[in-house]
Formats: sequence, structure tokens, C-alpha cells
Amino acid sequence: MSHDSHSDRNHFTKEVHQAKNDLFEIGERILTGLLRSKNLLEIGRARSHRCKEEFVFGLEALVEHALRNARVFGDLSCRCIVPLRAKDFARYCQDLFVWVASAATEGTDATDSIPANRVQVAAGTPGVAWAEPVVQGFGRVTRPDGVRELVKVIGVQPPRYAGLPRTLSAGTSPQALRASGRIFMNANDRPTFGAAELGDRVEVDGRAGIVAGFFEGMDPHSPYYYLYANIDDARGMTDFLQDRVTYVAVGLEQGASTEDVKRRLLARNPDTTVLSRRDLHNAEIRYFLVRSPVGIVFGMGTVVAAFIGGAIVAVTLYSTVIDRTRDYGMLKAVGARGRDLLQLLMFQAWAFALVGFLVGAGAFFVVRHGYPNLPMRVSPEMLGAIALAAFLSCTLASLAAVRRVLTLDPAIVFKA
Amino acid sequence: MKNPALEGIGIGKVFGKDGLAVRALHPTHVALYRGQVLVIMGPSGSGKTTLISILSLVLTPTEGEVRVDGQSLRNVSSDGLAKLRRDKVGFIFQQFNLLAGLSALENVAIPLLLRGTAAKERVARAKCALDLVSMGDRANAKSRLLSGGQQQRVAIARALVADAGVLLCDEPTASLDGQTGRSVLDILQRIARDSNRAVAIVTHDERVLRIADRLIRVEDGHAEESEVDELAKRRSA
Ligand SMILES: Nc1ncnc2c1ncn2[C@@H]1O[C@H](COP(=O)(O)OP(=O)(O)OP(=O)(O)O)[C@@H](O)[C@H]1O
Ligand SMILES: [Mg+2]
Repeated sequence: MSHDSHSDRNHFTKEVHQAKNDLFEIGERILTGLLRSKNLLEIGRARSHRCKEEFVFGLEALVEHALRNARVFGDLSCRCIVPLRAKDFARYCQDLFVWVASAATEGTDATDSIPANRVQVAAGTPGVAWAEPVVQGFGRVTRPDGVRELVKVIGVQPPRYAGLPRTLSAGTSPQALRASGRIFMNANDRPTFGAAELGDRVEVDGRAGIVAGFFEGMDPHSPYYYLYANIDDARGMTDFLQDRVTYVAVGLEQGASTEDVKRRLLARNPDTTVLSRRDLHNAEIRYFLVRSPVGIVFGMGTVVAAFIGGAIVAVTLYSTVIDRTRDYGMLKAVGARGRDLLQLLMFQAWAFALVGFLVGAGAFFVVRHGYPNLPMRVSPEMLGAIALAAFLSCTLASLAAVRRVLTLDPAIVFKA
Repeated sequence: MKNPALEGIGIGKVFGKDGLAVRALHPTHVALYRGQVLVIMGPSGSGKTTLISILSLVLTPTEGEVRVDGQSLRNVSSDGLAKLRRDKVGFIFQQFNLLAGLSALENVAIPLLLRGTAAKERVARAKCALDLVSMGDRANAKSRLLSGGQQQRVAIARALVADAGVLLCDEPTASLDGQTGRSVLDILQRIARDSNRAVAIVTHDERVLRIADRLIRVEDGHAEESEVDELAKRRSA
């Protein structure tokens, strides 16, 4: 049995290896198809249908490859992705919690405090396993060069330390905050604090904080630093009132429905708002986009850029059609049907989309690679959405050219 | 006589409407038979291009109808007409109308590409067609780098490659010098005789009469079949 599974695994590894090699070869083929033609547009115009063929052949091979290796990929995902997902999900379920916060909450920064007794009220609500307070306030941190800057201090409470980032650096344990005067620093801020090491002292509003750990993966878009401390130290550093808290983190009992608990919490704390992790996340994004100029500026910038890009594609396609009226007329005369011409034009439009997408995505990843500290993130879904948008806008942009070609009178070929 | 490969029955054309209407062609009957060269001659503005455009299925007549292999085209969609042009008709234009960026071979293969012929067969057949017009050795030359006569021969190969039964030529020699024009005419005559196709040539070049089996004279929109003058034939030889 164990021998069987061993040889099975060996065979599987070989298959995966083969599939990977095939994929590389296909990618290469598609690329050569693209590169062989000096002008990408010409692929669509069948300047050299050899290139076009190579390209199409590459795509076909890709699909064929995907189908042929469906089992391998299926297996792969079963063996690697599914258990991972399951583990992730389990962890997520375990610490699934909701937040009780001031009704004025618009985002994690834009919030007010609530009475501290809400912790007990929340803890006594059916479906709630535990409740822990979180405070959040601002102070001044003194950099090694003496400059004092704004810092957001978040105070969390044992035993769960709810509110800590989930991405603590390796070697950092929440327990390190148990002793007083300890802080966790954003790993990205270490250079600013003279290559801060564990045990270094940082001063926040006249109080010493000893660096007891680091967290990663948080790239706040705000103009201040983040520190975590235990709740008492945080109150001291930010002059936070003893009888107030910023959030109550509420852990759910196993099997309790988030919606039910949210409703019950709200009933018992009518002057608050109750947010799930997702609610908070969405609120944060909304706040960022609506209340800060970033949303408008980037939003408008993107819309304008998209329009200009679309217009450029449209004008280029249209003018190539005008330029080549005679050629398109000839094609129609010798028997190209509407769908043949549509294919030709769409090929050009989609070549634009593909090149645009590849260049844009490539630039994104190059910049991110060069500046790993920049908060640049993209999810596969977002990449997909962008590809789809590029594809759609280029399709739209080709409409004028398509109309022009389809309404072209083939009789022009006989006119001198 | 055999059935015509292409037939225009009572075809006529009026451009425009009402006060602006121009009669370009009075209703007339034209039949194209395999193995024959039909020459359509007439002065400028007489209606030759109008006539050949109708026969080519790119212009819809206002009167009459065109039949291909006896089949009426009354209710055929524009895509259907395109398909008929693709499969039944070969075209040769005064301006050659090759795609400048493509090689001779690629230009010749276009009708096959439109038919969805497999790549290998496309290349093989395009090569054959180029050989027929003695252009086999220039197959990979960019078409814009070819001389006028060579381009016209490539265009003839393009018209032949799909084995269309009808070849329609609009002023095929007008852009060529005398010697080159003569060789193109020889090729067209050979195509009609040897591979049994119907060839129609629109021209106002008297020298074309040399290869004419039949002649239609167009004057002021009136098309009329006339005897091929043996003398004219000999004179222009
Ligand atoms: N699209 C059109 N709209 C209006 N009138 C037209 C159109 N096409 C042709 N005509 C008219 O029809 C008549 C015949 O034109 P056609 O082009 O058939 O002549 P042609 O014999 O080919 O002349 P040429 O030898 O100069 O090429 C001319 O009077 C021309 O002005
Ligand atoms: Mg004319």
C-alpha cells in the first residue's frame, strides 16, 4: 500500500513536470507568433498568416494542453490547494468575530469611542463566546533623529489579543505584549527607526516602549505609523479614558450565525454599529475612496485614461480601415463575408487589448518587484477583471471600424 | 448551345432617384459560356463597369436578374452573394488590388483562406496557380516590389486559385505596357481554352479583340452583341 502510493506520487510528479514543460513550449510558440510579425496589427490583417497561424496554433495548443492535462491539474489542486483552502477556512472560522463600535464609525480611523461596559454586555449576549476590548488612539512617536511624528497606537488585551494583525513576523508572539511597556512595530518602519531590533527603545509621548515584535503585510495608506501595545500601555500613550474603548471584538460560539449574533448585539447596544470583518473591510474601502481625495483623483484619472485609451484604439482601427478601404473592398468582392471581416477586425482589436494588458500588467509587476515596499496588490480576480475590461473596451472601440467595413460597398473595387 | 456559367437576364441599372436618376445601363441580356472569351467594349462612361459590376454580383441591378449556373439570385442575402463570389467568380482589376504587405503567394491564397482551406493545401494550390502564370519563382516576393505585369499575373493567379468557373476582368491591360499586356491576354486566352472557364473582359483597348470569341459593344448604356470583326482581330494581332 505504501509502496503503491509512493510510485503513484512519483508518476504524478513526472506528469506535473511534463505538463509544466509543455506549457512553457506553448507560451514560447504564442510569443514567436506575436514577435514574428514586425507590426502586431498586421497579424490581424493577415500580413503574414504564418504568424497568425502560429499564434492561433499556440492558443489551440494551450486549450488542448489544458484539456489533456485537466486530470493532472485537477489532481494538483486536490492535493495542494484544497487542503490549504480547508486549513485556511478552519482558521478563519475559528477566529471568526464581529466588531462592536461607535455608531459614528465610517472606517477604522474614522470612529469614536464607546463605553467600556459594552464588553460585558457583548459577552453576555447569546451566541457570543468571548468579548475583548480594543482601544485605538493617537500619540507622538520620537524617531531616532529626534523628529516627533504621529503614531496610531492600538491596544489589545490578553488572553486573545483580538485586534492584532494576523501577520505577525516569524518569532513574534502575542504573549510578548503581556509585560508592560512592550510594543509591536510595523516591519516596514524598521529602517525609519534606525534598523530597529527587538529590545530597542522607542518613545511615545514621553513613555518608553520596548520593541517586542514586528508585524508585516500591513501597508497603511495613512500618513502615520502604527504600533500595537497592551491595552493599559496604549491608554497611557494616547491619554485614552479608562471607561471607554474603541471596539469590542466579539468571538462567536461554534455554529452561531454571524447575522443572528449581529442582530442581537445591535439590539442590546442600540447606540453602536456591529460590523463583521467583511463589513469593516468594505467600510474602510468606502471611507478611503469617498472621504479622501484619493478615490476621486484616481477614479477620474482611471476613467479619463480608459477613455483616452479606448479613443486611441478606436481612431487607430478606424483610420487603418479608411487607409485600406480598397483592400477591404477587394476582400469583400472576392467573397469575404461579414463574419470573415469581423474576425479580421476583432483580431486586431483584441491584439490591442492583449498587448495593452500585457504591457500594463508587466509594468505593474516590474514596479512592484523593484519597490517591494510600495503597497501594490492585485488579486487574480482583479487581474481577470482588468483583462476583461481591456477586452471589452477594445471591442467597443472597434465598433466604428466594424461598421465602416461592413457597410463598405464592394463595387468600389471596379472604380479607378 | 451549352448552359451559360453566368447569365444576366434583362439586367439594367439606374443610379439615383427621381430627378437625379441616371440610367447607366438599359436592360440587356448577357451570357458567359465556359471556354469562351467575351470582350465588352465601349467608350468612357458608356456603362461597361456598371455591366461587369452587376455580373460580378457586387452591384444589384434595378431590373432583371443574374443567374449563376442557372440558379437565380433574387432572394440571396449579401453573405450568400459573398459566398457565391468566393466560390464561383474570379476577379481581375485594373489596379490589380493586391495586398501590398503580403507576398505573392499569400495574396494568391486569400480566396482559399476565406474558404477555410487547410494551410498545407492553401500553399500547394497557390503555388500551382502561380506556376500557371509563370510566377512560381517569385512566390515569396512582397507584392509591392513586383512590376505591374507581374502584379497582374499574381492577380490572375488569385482569380484562378479557387477554381472559379467565371473570370471577370475590368481593364486588365490598361495599367500595362503593350508587350506585358499582350502576355497577360495570352494567359487569359489560355485559361479560357485549356481549363474551360468563362472569361469576360471589359476594356476600351482594341488590342483585346485579338483573343475575343464574342464581343459586346456598349454605347450610352445600350449593350449589344456584335460580330467579332475578323479584320480587327487580325489587325491587332
Ligand atoms: N454610383 C454611381 N452613381 C451615379 N452614377 C453612376 C454611378 N456609377 C456610374 N454612374 C454613371 O453611369 C454611367 C456609366 O458609368 P460606368 O462607370 O459604367 O462607365 P464605363 O463604361 O465603365 O466608363 P469608363 O470607361 O470611363 O470606366 C456614367 O454616366 C456614370 O456617371
Ligand atoms: Mg469603367
